[in-house]
Amino acid sequence: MSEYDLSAYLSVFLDEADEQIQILDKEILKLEKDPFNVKIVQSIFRAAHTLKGSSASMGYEKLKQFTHHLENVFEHIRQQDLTVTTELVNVLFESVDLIKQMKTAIVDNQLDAIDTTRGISALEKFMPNATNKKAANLKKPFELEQYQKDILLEGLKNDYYSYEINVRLSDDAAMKNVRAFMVYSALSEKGEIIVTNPTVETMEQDETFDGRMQFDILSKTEKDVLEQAIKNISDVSFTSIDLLTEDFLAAPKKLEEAAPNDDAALHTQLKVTPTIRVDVEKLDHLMGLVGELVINQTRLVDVRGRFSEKDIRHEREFDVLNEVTNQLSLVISELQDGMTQTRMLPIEQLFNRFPRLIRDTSMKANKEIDFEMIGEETELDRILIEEISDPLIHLLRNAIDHGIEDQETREKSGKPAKGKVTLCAAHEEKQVVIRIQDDGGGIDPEKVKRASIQKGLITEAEAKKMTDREAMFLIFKSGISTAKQITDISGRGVGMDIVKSHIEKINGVIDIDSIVGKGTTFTIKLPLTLTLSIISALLIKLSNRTFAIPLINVLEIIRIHKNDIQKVKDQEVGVVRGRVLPLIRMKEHLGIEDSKAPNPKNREFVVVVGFADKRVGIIVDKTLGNQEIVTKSLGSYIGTPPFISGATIMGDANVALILDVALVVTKFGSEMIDLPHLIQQSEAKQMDQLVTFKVGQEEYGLDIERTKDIVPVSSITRIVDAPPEILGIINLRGNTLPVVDLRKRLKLEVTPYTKKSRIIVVEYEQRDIGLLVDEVKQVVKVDRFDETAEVQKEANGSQLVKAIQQVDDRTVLILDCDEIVSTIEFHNFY
Amino acid sequence: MFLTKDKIQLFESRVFLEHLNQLGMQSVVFSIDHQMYSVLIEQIVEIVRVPIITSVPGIDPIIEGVINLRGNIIPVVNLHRRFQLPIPEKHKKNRIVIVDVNGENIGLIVEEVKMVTTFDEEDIEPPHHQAIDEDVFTSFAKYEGQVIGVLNLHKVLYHA
Repeated sequence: MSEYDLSAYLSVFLDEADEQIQILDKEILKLEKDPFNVKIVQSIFRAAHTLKGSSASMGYEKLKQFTHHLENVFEHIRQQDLTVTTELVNVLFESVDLIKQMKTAIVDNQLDAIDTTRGISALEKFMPNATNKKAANLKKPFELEQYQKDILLEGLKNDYYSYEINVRLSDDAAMKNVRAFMVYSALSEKGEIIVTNPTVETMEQDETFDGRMQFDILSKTEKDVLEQAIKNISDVSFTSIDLLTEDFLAAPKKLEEAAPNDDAALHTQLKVTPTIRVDVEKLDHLMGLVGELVINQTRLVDVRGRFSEKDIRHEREFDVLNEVTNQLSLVISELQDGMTQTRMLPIEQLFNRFPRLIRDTSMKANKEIDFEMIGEETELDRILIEEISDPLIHLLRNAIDHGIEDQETREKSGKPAKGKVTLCAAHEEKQVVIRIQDDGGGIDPEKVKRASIQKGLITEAEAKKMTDREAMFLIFKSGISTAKQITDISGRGVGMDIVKSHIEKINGVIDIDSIVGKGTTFTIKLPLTLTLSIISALLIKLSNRTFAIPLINVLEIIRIHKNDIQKVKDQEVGVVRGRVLPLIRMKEHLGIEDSKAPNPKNREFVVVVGFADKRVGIIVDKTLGNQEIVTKSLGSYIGTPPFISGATIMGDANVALILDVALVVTKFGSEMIDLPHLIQQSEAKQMDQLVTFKVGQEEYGLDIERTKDIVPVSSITRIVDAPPEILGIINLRGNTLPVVDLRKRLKLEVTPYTKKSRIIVVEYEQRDIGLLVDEVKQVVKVDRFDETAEVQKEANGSQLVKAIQQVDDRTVLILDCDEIVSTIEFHNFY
Repeated sequence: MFLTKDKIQLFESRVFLEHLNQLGMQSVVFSIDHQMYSVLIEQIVEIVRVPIITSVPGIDPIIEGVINLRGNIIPVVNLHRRFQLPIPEKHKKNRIVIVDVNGENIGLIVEEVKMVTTFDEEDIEPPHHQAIDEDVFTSFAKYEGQVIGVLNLHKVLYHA
């Protein structure tokens, strides 16, 4: 094979080698638990054999030789003259590691530099003896027909032993045919020969007969007696006698067929679907075309939207447009999914490596681990699978080494002695979410703080101000380790730093949840694919301009009251879920002028974005909703402007810019902002939400907990002989409910309702009651109604108002819902 | 990208124009602040009306922003800003001349496209070393008593 040919096959070889190495890892792990399972041995043997075969055909002599030795060991395990011990398993794993090394070396063209002698001698130690080793290799495949198996099985049932006997005559033996016949007749004296290989004719007559024979016999004779009988024949150099078990014989034919030389059978355990290899460039091109389709589809939807707003004279044409647009959207989204799928692989590929990793790590750490994997079938981009590998290995090792406590500690705290580590992957909202969960000791924020102070990463004062959550995130800083001692697995404090940078690289987000004494969960969110130019994005407005924020980075959208925004070191911050969040006025950083007067509203829209371990809140004027967008580069002429990662084309054919979340977050999120008094303040404040509305001149409020719905006034059916406060009944989604005129109830002048009038539906004694108000103003968050306001109740002279609240310089009377409705007689209305 | 009818026509016309170019220098003449400039037609991809331009914060101020040209994002340069001329009101005669420089399509906002013409060889002069800042002109052409500067797009677009 020429050099060129080889390189063309290299990737095929590497893929195959990967597959076989994975099988080896997986099956050896199984073998350790179930050393006598013939099926496992078979599949290990096959994997080793394939590796040997393919490396030989690629001309990798070193790899071939080594796998050859490995194969021999497996052969002996198969022959059951080698017992599977932990020691052996360790050596086997080391051998697999060496194969991995060699594989890497092949890529780097460094195969010659690898020393296999130690590996080989480690393996050879387990060989029963030298001659056996040599002979085992000489054995030929031996296939049993079903009827022969049936005979052997039948024999087993009738208390016969079923043996497989390998005999080899010395190479220099004269008259091999005659010797063979002697062996044959010796065996036939002891039992029933069911099958021979080669055929008896070959043995007795063929000049080229090489002296290797295999017999399957049924006999009542003991094994050593048989062996002795064969050895008595001169010039026999090697004998092996194996007892055939029922399991082996009863195994499905498929496995039986999978004799070592049968390459086709090597994939029996793998799901085989016909595949073709496609150039990635071709896929990219197709993906680009799908992108064009998506753009045009959004434009079509946009046009349809504008049509539907108009008074349509061509209703039927519009219906067609509507139908076609919907159909097209469906097809395009399916096409897009399909294209994405072509680059996706199940994460199983990666996960399969972990049981082995867990075994090794837990052995080294001397801990018993119950490891569970969930969602191996979850698919993601091939490139992402490679990129996420290192972070996951780190996190898993950490979980075992630092997370899970030693047995003594666990027992003391009433946990099962075996630590539990769960690795879980799933698709959530066009993202891949991977969780690593352990039931260990958790991350102690105090320890992290202390370590960080020691390393000079934060000051004592800073540490004091930090929340626990913030402290936990310090572990992502370089050099932080809370491990009491550095083991050779982990604890040097470089790991989490690397985890973070890897996740940043693939635009992921990482989060920690940890409870001291209970355990830790790391959550990693990843985009489904990296190379894909079609992404989901949140569209927002800054002044009158539209920007897109990749949805993968959007954690939540919240509203923060202006009064809750504080300034720390010239940086505006707000407190969100116990974390101080830097708030970024993107407009200022982008130099966008306000089109209107400054926001008259009291609360700001904040889009909380995350990138790896950092979070910031971007203050926006408006959110427009989610949309699939096709990302486009701004081109080399424009270069890379700050905070802008690219552009996309909107439905109205205009260009919108995509915010570079990574940059925004790393720039503004890195400043450590910690104001515990701020947090405490806002956490201490028990916030209530109010619905405020107008009745007459005054503004009133109701606790939002009590309101179920706010609906415009439809037709109110008047009821005869009803209490004066009750205006009538309405039908709300199939339920009839009475409507109380609040004007009447508050003893105000009754006026007819207007366009602004609303019915607020409240619940009272498990019944719905509507309250007619003049106008609903807003929903506001207020501090829990304070006692001082309560005092004024009497001064107010009314039982209906339970508190008075200041909302943005306005006085809002908070009504006591129960007071209002409890005095009215409702029973006629249900 | 799909080949639109426009593109095919454009392609055909370009083949034709290249042929023309061998005969003389076909140029597109346009005005900026009432002054005439020209660009060799072989550097021009197409001429379009001015769509909505999306400005991009934090970039070279001569770049007005980006436009969508059949699904491609094209940067648009404001030549008034480039030549430090007063920015005029928008006018319906304004056009964007899309040029190909270094394999990238870039739009130039011009006040009005005047004509496509071939300058006679004898009417073309090399740039005289006059006061006009850098050498943004490759040459000057005399046309009906006017002097038209032929732009050196490299110098115009990639100014220091």
